[in-house]
Amino acid sequence: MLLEMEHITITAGQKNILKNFFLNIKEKELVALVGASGSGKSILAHSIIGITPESVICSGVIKYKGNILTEEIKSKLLGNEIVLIPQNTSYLDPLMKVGMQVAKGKKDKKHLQKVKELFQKYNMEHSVINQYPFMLSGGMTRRVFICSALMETPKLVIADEPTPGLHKEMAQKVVSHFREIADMGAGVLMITHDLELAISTADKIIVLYNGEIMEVTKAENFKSEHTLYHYYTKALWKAMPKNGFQNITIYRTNEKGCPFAQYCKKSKKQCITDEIPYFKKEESIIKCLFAGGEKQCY
Amino acid sequence: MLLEAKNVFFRYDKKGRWILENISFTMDNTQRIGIIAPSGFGKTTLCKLLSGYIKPTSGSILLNGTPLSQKGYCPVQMIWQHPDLAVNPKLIMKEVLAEGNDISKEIISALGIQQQWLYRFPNTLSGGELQRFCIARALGKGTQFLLADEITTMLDLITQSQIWHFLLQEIEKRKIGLLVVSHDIDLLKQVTTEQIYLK
Amino acid sequence: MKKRIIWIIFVLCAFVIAGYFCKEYALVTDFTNKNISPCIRYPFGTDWMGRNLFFRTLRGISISILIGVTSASISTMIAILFGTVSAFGNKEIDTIIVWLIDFMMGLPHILLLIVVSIAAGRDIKGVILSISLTHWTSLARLIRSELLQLKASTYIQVAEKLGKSKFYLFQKHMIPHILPQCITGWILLFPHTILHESSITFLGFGLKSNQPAIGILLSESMQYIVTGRWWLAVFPGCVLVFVVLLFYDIGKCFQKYYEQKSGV
Repeated sequence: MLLEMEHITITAGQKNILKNFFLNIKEKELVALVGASGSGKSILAHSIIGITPESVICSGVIKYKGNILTEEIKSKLLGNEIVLIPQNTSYLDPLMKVGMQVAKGKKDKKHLQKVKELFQKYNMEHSVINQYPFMLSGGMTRRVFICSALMETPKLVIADEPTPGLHKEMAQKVVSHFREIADMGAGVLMITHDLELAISTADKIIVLYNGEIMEVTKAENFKSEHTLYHYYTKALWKAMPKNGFQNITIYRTNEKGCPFAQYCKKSKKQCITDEIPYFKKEESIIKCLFAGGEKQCY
Repeated sequence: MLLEAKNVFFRYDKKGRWILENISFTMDNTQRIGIIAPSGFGKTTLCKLLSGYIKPTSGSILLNGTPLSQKGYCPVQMIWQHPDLAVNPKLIMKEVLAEGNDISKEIISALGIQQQWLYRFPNTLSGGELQRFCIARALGKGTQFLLADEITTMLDLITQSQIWHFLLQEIEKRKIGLLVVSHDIDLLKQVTTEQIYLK
Repeated sequence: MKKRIIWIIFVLCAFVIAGYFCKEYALVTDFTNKNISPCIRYPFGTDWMGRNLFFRTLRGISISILIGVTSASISTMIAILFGTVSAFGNKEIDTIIVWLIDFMMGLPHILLLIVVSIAAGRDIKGVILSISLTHWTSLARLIRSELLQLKASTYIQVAEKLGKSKFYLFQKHMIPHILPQCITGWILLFPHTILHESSITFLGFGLKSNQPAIGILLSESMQYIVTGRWWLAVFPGCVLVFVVLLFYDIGKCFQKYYEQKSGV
């Protein structure tokens, strides 16, 4: 197992951002974390790397290759074995040429050659190497990020919302590069709000609602409603424009228990009053009392 | 009711690149039109022109044959892609809604806006919740055309479908014309009656 | 934070009121008690005419604070006026005002102060006028750029398309944004004006010598300090520094207060 996370709880001030979060990534696996905007996905990425602001408190266990990820190990691995592909252009130095940023300031021939190769691979002209970040389009910026992640051979790539602002084909293209990186042997965690994009490329999808995991399932299970088990995941499926575009009423509730208890047909009294545990059915993990399967220790 | 663009050219400064060149187009208030175009085409610029935020460099935008008035309530309302930029961070949501032209209570409740949200500041609400307010605000009395520029791109699927179902119902009832800009062809097929592919 | 602001305002008011009541005492001369060093009866000592320096200092600082308040207020108003007109007027007006700001900032401050003060007659009015006319520039520039930014913001454009009048936009969207900056700017102008008032008076271009302003006290003391009458300079100087620091503190408090409020 490349990356294991367990019992992760992230709080900012009084607010719970993530509650009892867990995650496993194997090598060659692309895991997509899907949730509505503002559900704390970016903060999760930042807390793996350790760049959260001070007011954010993260507790839980993060293991990398079986060892607990301490500050010491982190500082050794960040930037070469573990890389973050950030959300937007503001993460590039506006006053430095793109090529130099990808090469991380190293000017020797070996590195420059590698930069050239990577740029060619991702369909960018050589002239882009000497351009400044403001001259790049959205899609190009993402590709520059990918190039700079691939300068070393990363084992774990964390991509934070790689697609907003890109039109569909471009987004598809960017995401397909993540697929390639995973196929090359790295583990990829892709954080996104675009479920359809995740379905088309990821192996495993984690569905987040209000800071809690609702269901972890294989991407191909989204082909049909019947292989999905949680009320919320089913609702997501039904709301897709190509699957009927159904109008589903769900409003944020802050009560204990299942947030969908008042809408779900299967729900009973304990759905409202009890803390809901996770159940494992086939390869899916579901936070629902009536999905069937056996109880998990998460 | 007829919204027309006649030979519209637009660029931001003299000698700059033309963002839009010779665009002509007509729609009436019973139509729902979807626009699909590659990024960088100037779709947002087109929306801003049609709703009077900016003036064309040459050509004209006409509503029922007369140019859009710069004063008073504009009958062509645009809903923006980023709701967080379209509301003042220092006003509570109640005040934001009050800017709309006499928004009926039915609209507010049909959009699922909860009473307690009204007394919150924008930065305590999610993008989906904010977008509901922006939509309500654009649906005041006197709105005849609605321009939706990627209004659900940043939102999750369930919020997306909720918002669109409401919008379709409302514009049907009030005979409002709808122009939708989106990258999502499946979505456009669901919410519009005809789609225009621009290249 | 709020408590601290109230305390500081209280202390400043106390200075002004105390100064008002020792108007007469500050001018009483008593040649039997001249040049006394600080003691219990004369905490700040007396000068070469036997005037009680404690009362003179109080009177002086209260005059300084009043000059500070008035001229800071006037220059803030000028700044708001020019900043707003510049942001909302047409291009020519904007160009003229920006040029004026640059011009005023380019001139040496003290020179302008002296010229205006002399031209307006060397009294309190002249000093207030000269300080007000020279200190509005940076705040005006700040207000102008804030307003320009606001004008281009999406939410104000939306409100305009919803049929809201210019007046509505200004009072609902713009004032809440620039008011905190104006207040902070106003408070921070205070110490600046007090120091300028003292310095031009010290140089002899400000108030006349029958007004016991801090600048006068300091400039008079220069003749006697070499003969060992240190208290004549030290006490008024310390009180001046103390008041200036109080104003800075209040300004900082306000800044923090608004940052916290908007950062929720």
